[in-house]
Amino acid sequence: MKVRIAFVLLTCLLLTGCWDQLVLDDLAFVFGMAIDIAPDREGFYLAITSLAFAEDAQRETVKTIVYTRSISQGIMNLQRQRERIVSMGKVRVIIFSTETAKSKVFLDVVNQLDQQRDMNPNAWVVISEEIDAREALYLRPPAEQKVAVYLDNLLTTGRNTGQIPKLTLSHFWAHRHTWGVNPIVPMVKKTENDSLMLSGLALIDGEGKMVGQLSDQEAITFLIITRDITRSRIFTEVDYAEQKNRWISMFVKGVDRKTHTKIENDKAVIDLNFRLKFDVINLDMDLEDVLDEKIFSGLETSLARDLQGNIQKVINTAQELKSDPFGLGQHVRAQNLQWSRNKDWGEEFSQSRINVQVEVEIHRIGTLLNPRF
Amino acid sequence: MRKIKNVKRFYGITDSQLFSLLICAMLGAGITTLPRTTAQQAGRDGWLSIIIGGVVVWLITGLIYLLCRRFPNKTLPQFSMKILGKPLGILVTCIYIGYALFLGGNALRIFLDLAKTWNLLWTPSWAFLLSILVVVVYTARLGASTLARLSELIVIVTIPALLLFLLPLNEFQILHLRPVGGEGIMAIARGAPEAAFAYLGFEILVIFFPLLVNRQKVFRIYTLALATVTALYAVNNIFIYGVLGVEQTTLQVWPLINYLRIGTSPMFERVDNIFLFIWTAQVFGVTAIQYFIATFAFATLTGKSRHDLWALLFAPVLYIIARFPKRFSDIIRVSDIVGLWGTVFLVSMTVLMLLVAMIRGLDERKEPNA
Repeated sequence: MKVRIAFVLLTCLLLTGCWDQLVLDDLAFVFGMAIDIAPDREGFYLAITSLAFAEDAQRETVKTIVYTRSISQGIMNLQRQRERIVSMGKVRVIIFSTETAKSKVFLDVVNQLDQQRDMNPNAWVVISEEIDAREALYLRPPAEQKVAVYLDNLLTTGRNTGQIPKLTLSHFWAHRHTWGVNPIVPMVKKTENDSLMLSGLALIDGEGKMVGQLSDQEAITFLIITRDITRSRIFTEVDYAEQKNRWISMFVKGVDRKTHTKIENDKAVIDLNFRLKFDVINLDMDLEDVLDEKIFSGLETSLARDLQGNIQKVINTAQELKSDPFGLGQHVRAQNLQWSRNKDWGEEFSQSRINVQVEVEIHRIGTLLNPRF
Repeated sequence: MRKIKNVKRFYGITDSQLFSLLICAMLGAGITTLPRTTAQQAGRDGWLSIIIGGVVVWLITGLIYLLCRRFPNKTLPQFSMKILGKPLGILVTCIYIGYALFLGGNALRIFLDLAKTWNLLWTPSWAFLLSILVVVVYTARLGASTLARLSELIVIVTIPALLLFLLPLNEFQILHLRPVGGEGIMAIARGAPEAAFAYLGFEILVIFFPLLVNRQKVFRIYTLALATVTALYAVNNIFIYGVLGVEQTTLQVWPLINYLRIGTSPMFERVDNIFLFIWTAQVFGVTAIQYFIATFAFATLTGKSRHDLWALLFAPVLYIIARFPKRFSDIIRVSDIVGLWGTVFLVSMTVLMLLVAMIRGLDERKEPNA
């Protein structure tokens, strides 16, 4: 008897969830979202792409676009055009146009997405350069018909090969709310064959608007500064002895950074000491014999000088724009908590003195004794 | 002789069962909001407040142990009447029954709102509550030893849920936690009461003490259980602050769910849903334990052995307590009231009874037939 009662109770317990059952066949899984600010500057266009499951569907993906003033309203408007329930749990990429990212709509939308319960917090945030976001979402890249999947793979590969940092919705929310760091968003632009390419990083200020951009090369320097670089290679021009503007490319094998901060005259002073470890891939120099230790140290000095300049330049760019995507403010707060209270880090960052010192270690020098034999 | 052996086997609570009961009684729905409530008071040092809260609770537990061991064969309703006299003893027991019902009902209600916010949006509250309540009543009617055995199972089921906490850790940043201690002693101390409320349930010894098989190790087991819960709460805070950042944590109603949503696994797409599924057992555990305590105390108070009947009759009371708050703000208010006044009641009750027992020289261990 007790077993029967237990069985009935267990069944009751399991059945309660049926009120919220969602049949898979009834769902339209959204894989990509695009947001473009509308001409009225208040609303925006929300475009989505989802898979077409019907066997006789004319296309692999279904694209829908609506005008809206909020994400929730947008989803309701989208639902009017879809025969299946729009589900946001599998969104992989959210694209904003540059114009949208520079407006208040950008932050409004990201904040609204934070409150969507079924939204995937691990979806990439990306900004489209030169083209509208919906245009980027409606591209048909030759390599992959589903552009959201293509873009997700492109961004993930970019991250894994040290081109861009990881920037998902959850990162954006955390960096947006945390004192001493601002979000930074990967940018893409259209290529000639209807594909997309990584084109740099967008700097976001304290108000949550895009205020500037780092180029694709500066993006790698950014990753070096934040020690977030994995399996990346860098190319640069250096002067070595009498040889001017010679190319060198290297694998970045490791980045150590020591950060010391102090307050002088009520302003933050930040000392950044880098130790970078490289393996040379190839170089275009007459080095006579790379096994000579002097050549190693000479190259290391040249590279350190060059990279120190690059790092300083990227930091200065960010300072001018009052955006600290490096999280240097977090170090300032950690080491000077009392000073940091009630301070606007964006303002303080722009007026901070940041000293950069770079040391370079070249571990391996390539495959030829003299590259210009 | 054989019958007596069976009685011992079925009705005594072993060391591991006591440990499981304590874990189940303390771990409830509070863990889902604790990082926010402690961060609001103590900032990034909220996890230090939890450790201080744990130490304070450990000290109170010591007093409860000292009180209970003077009356090794009596539960709270019995020894309170012996120490304070019948009217005051009945009053203390009635307050304790009310406290236990509110604690269990509140845990159930918080979990209901959590589930209705994140995944059971359209399931009616009554269906959710009844489905758990029926099992709670069924279990509570079967007695303390059944509850203790079930607690062991729940603790085993909880371990995989704790492994889910590790999944979002690749986003962990130690800078979110630095400087350690920077918020100041006062801020950390302000967070300690909030943290201490999360340990409520630690006092179950006042009912279970006479049922223990091995009373020599009680305090050691208590210390181990408290250390486990403290470590779990503190690590929970550290992980959430390290991933979400303290500022974002204070903005989230349910920071633990926001934290778990970031985790990904090749097996589960929604880690938070798996956690909620497993944690249902934990919330069921805390509700069942408090419900058993309330009905058992009432049965003792009425001098009747019909605990199974009271366990049925009190079910509507628990349902009303869980359904009573209308708005979410009401739930938080009830939770705060139960936390604050529950702690005040437990501390004052224990200290008062211990002092009176010491002054009056009441100690059943010294009695010849004890």
